[in-house]
Amino acid sequence: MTNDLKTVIWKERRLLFSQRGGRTQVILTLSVPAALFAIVMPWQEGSGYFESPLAPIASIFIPMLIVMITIPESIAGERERHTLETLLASRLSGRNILFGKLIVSIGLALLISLAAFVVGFVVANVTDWTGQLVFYSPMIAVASITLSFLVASLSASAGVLISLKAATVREAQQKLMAAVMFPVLLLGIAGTFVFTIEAVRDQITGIIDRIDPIVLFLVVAVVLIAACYFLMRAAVRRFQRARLTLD
Amino acid sequence: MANVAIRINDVTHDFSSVRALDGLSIEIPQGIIFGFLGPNGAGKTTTINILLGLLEPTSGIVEVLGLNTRTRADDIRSLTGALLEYPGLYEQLSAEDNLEFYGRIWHLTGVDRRERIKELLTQIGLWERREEKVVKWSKGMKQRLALARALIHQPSLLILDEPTAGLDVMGATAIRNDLANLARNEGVSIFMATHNMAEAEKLCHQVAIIRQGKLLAIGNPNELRKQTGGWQVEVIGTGFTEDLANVIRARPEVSAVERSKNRVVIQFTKEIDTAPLVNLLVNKGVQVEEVSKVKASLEDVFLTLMQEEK
Repeated sequence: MTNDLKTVIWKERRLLFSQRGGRTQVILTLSVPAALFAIVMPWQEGSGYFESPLAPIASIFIPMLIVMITIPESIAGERERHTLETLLASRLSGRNILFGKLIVSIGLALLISLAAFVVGFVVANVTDWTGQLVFYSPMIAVASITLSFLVASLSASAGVLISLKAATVREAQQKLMAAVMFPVLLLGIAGTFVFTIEAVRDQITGIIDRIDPIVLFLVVAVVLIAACYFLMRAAVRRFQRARLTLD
Repeated sequence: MANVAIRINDVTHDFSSVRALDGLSIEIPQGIIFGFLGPNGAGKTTTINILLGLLEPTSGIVEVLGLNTRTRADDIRSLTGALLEYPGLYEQLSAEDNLEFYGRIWHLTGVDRRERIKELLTQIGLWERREEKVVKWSKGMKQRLALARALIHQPSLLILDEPTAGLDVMGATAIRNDLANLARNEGVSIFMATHNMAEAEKLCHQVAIIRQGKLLAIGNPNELRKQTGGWQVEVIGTGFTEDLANVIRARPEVSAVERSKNRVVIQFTKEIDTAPLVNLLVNKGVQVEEVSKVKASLEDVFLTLMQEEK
């Protein structure tokens, strides 16, 4: 890691915990969605939580929500507060500025996601003690951690592109929320509707039962990696000094 | 080459159909404060962006500290300090953290950073308040901190965009004193865009006046005053007639006469002795109460140039 990247990371971390209300409020804000997935769901599911798809689902939503807060604050906020112009006039490269911001945002999302994963493990064991510790299946553990990272990276790249076109942090957060959450909600609603039709539900369940979960996970991971690569490239191309100066 | 801080050679810059700079050529020696004057939209900020390598000129060559802005923009940004239109401070961070961040950007060691931060904050009288969040500070204090930030790596060239805009008299004076001290004591070259004529007159060794991207005049404030008229005499009294005004206008050394009931203001192209003028006025029946002779200000020069250009 270069010194310049470390410098941007130092500043981003400092700023993250210096926002309105200070460190405690930031941590609380970011922890609310994590607590929902890490405490409420394992509590309800008990030891069945370790076999259910809830942990991988949590590892999709938690980083997504965290990044939706941090990336607009970091990119659109820097423009809104007119600090980006001075930063661009310094000796830092655009790439280091961008990747410093991405690393902090994705890192924090991953950290909170992992914390939720551990808390979920504790809550499920405590609330439904079976006489011995129950662990996540290796497949669930690997899928959860990998999905957390990929979803955080994907949301962050989309967040950069959206934030660069937004005039304010609020506008960027709203647009990012719409761009990321809308397809997820649409899929959820469509899935719920489809599953009410018995014949279709049986057919889909049959297909899912026949698919090897490892293959399913690998397919999802490859799709996410590809999407991440293209969005990240677009973000790097967009984050150029001349373009940012003209905006 | 070494004694030229900035060389702008026949530079044009277009924003799609709008020409922001039109054949601009300026050479600025090192170690001086250079004022870049012009009305809003004249091309001052575009020039600054080109100097910092943030924009490429459509045509022409720009060299900053001997380095071409097209090919050595990163090196130029390493050697210069900039204070742009906004202070650009992280207001949720302390003054110390703001300087710490930029000290890290310029790879100052931990010891050097601490020493330099203390030196700069002490110079601007804010060392005792170093741990306060900048958001609580006045505009003048923020601007002085932003200036300190631009100096953290001891640049040999400082590029400033309207450094005293929006400041009260005390704040603006403090910034002007800081800049004068920098040029005098540390030999820093300063390129300063402004539309504050009085400030440019007090502070700058050389000024350039631009309008719609074209250079209208360049030189030190005294030279410019000479180019466009130099002196102004104001007479207060009674009996100023239009015939008298026409007699005065007909004199070769007079460039303009402005008459009202109790006052006449006469612009001269050179310094004159006021005694013959007063005699003439008295002989023509004017009751003279007060006569004052002043050098035309840079603002007068600026307004004259703007009117000529229109």
